[in-house]
Amino acid sequence: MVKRYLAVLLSGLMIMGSVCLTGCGSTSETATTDTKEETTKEETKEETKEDTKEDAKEDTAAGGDNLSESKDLLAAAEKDLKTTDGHEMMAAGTTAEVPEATASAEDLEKLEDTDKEKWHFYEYLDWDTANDATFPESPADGQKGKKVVLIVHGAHAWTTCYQEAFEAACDAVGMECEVYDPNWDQSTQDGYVDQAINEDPDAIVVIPVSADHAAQQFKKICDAGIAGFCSNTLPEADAMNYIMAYTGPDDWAQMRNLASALGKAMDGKGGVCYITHNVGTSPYYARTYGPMSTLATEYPDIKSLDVQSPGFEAAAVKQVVSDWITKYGDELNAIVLADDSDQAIGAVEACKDAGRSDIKIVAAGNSKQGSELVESGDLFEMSYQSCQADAGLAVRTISEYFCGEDIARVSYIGTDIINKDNVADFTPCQW
Amino acid sequence: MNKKKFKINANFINNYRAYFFLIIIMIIGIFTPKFYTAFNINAVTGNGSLVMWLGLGFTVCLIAGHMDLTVMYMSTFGALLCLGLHSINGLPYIVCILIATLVGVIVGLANGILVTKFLIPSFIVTLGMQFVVKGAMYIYTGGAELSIGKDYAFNEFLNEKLIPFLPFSAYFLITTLIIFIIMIVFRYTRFGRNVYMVGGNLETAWLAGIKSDRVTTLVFIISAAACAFGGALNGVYSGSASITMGEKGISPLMIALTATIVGGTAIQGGKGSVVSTWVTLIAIAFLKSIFKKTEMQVLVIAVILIACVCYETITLYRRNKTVGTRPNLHKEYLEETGKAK
Repeated sequence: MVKRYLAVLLSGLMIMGSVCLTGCGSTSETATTDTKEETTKEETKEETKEDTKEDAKEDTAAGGDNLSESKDLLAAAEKDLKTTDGHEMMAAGTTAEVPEATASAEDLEKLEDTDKEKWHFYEYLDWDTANDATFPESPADGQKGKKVVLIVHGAHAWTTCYQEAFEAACDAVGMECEVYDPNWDQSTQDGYVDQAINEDPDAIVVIPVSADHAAQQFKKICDAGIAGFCSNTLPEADAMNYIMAYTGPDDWAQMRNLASALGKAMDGKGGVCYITHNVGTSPYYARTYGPMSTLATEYPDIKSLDVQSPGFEAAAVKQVVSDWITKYGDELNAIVLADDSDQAIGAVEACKDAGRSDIKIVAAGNSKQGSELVESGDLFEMSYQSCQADAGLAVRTISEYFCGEDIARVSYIGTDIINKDNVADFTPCQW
Repeated sequence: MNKKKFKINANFINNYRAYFFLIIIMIIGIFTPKFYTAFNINAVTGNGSLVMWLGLGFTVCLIAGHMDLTVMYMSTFGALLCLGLHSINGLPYIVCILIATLVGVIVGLANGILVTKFLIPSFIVTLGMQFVVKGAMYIYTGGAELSIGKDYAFNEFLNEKLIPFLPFSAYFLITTLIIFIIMIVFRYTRFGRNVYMVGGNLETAWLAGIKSDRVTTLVFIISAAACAFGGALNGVYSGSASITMGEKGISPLMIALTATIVGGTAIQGGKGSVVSTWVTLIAIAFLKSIFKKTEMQVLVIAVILIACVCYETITLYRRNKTVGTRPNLHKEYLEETGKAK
């Protein structure tokens, strides 16, 4: 009986308590959110009125100090901050022109994997801007003193490097930063998005665990009247309707460049096998079908022999490559890897054990292991994807937004190809 | 008339530990910034609703003396099936949810038959069945993630407040309603009492004329159907679902298991309450809101689980030590012979 009473009592207390305690908070919070846009509109109207001109001038002057100070901080950070390998950390991003799709997404899906056209909607953020949500307007008072929440995808050496660079960049431009790590779990990341919204920061940056789920996450952020930025992982195109800006690597371009260099080194003939990233993720498509379709277009005599997804364990990759060497023999001339660390170690070991040093191995990079393998000549080439510049570009874009500048909706970090001749230019490695 | 003395001692605290756990969390919440906001309460209870379905399934099976390890994959399958049938086949959500629940009923029936008719331990059956369900998901989706696309209507309904003055989402309120219905069924119906009896002592239940096979099968059906139904709702609520949901981070299955044990459900069966599990899961959901870092959440949840299991083990050991003995024999002798003071 006591238990029953206690249960009823506690349930009632919880409901009543939460209603009472949240009553004021929720009203004020909702009111704050709802009135954010109205305030901006009202401010614009007020500016046109002559009787409030003086107040407006005072406001602008107050924001102006912070704005000019913020711009100075940003300029200094752009100049001073360097990556571990000595490159600019907050360099300006590049944009890529989006070619027009030749057919609808459903029709393109029916094309061959080797057809570049098939991957149009995977490669480009080709979204319909007509469906864009109403984004919060920039306060145009500078980034200094603003609070940013970064929600990464999960624990990894790369993530640690990105996080540290992001914090350093925020520190340099005068922003406060809080980081959440959902450890690769989608529902935990959803929870963190809610927590971040609850904290009411000035901006939220998300590296989505899942490209398909990004739309829901950014819709929530957008609905709450907070500026949402997507970093590193390419979201699905429709998610861009709710994303203020995407910054990150152009995975497709760097893998296409790598494939072109590989095709040239193979003299336009031979057979290639592919080890993929996690199935279904954006690097899975970019790092498998990017090089595959490039080779098929530029070097039609190069055959794609097989695609396997053994994961990121060296032993599993070694087994797959050993099987390929047995199965294809001299037909196998090159291997494209989605990862230059454990996958590369496994593939190199398998080739060495089979005495097939002639097989050219290329990978998406650039980790410490990858650099060492390129230096030793075991890895033919790898792409340069700067983790720290990735974080730096995100912070730069957010800062520019707070400074009231026009920002590109999509901007990419620079890329390069690392080989034995230029590997010294990209060391010491970032992660 | 004998009146029980109301004492707040270790035994009382242990019996109502789920409620004390919730009270402690709510008190800590007072000192946590922006804890008591409508948005936070709505988000925390909404995001925590999926594990409440898993906890429900796990608890009802454990009361009946069995384990159901399929709960997590069953809910994921429910979500994928619901989203797939809606986005690919264009069926209305209500039909999709019903079909997902029906699949849950079939899986539960299969589990029940294998446990009762083939006498395979439930741990083994459900361990195997979860991989069958996972394989079926791979075949159905091809490994792809499914989402609601641009159809936000039902998603928004589940996210919105059903009762305007309460800071709870419709999804959480539906979950709570079903859990209380199951609680009433288990507490006030013959079937419910039979489940407790089957879980407490199968032989006694058989001697009492209870059709234990039917009761056990029904329990598995309730568990799987609830998880599939809850999973389907969760798929729409969160907007997407993938096969690997819950495989990284803190596993929902582990949270459900922890909540079931912390909630006071006996591991050997015959004792427990779905409401206690529900209360524990609410506490865990709010705990996550206090300890924002995943590593801290894991640590705190693990410590609570270990403390509860240690207490249970010590209590069981002490009870076993005194089974069959008469510690008050001397006192009884003195009373019988009139020598007692």
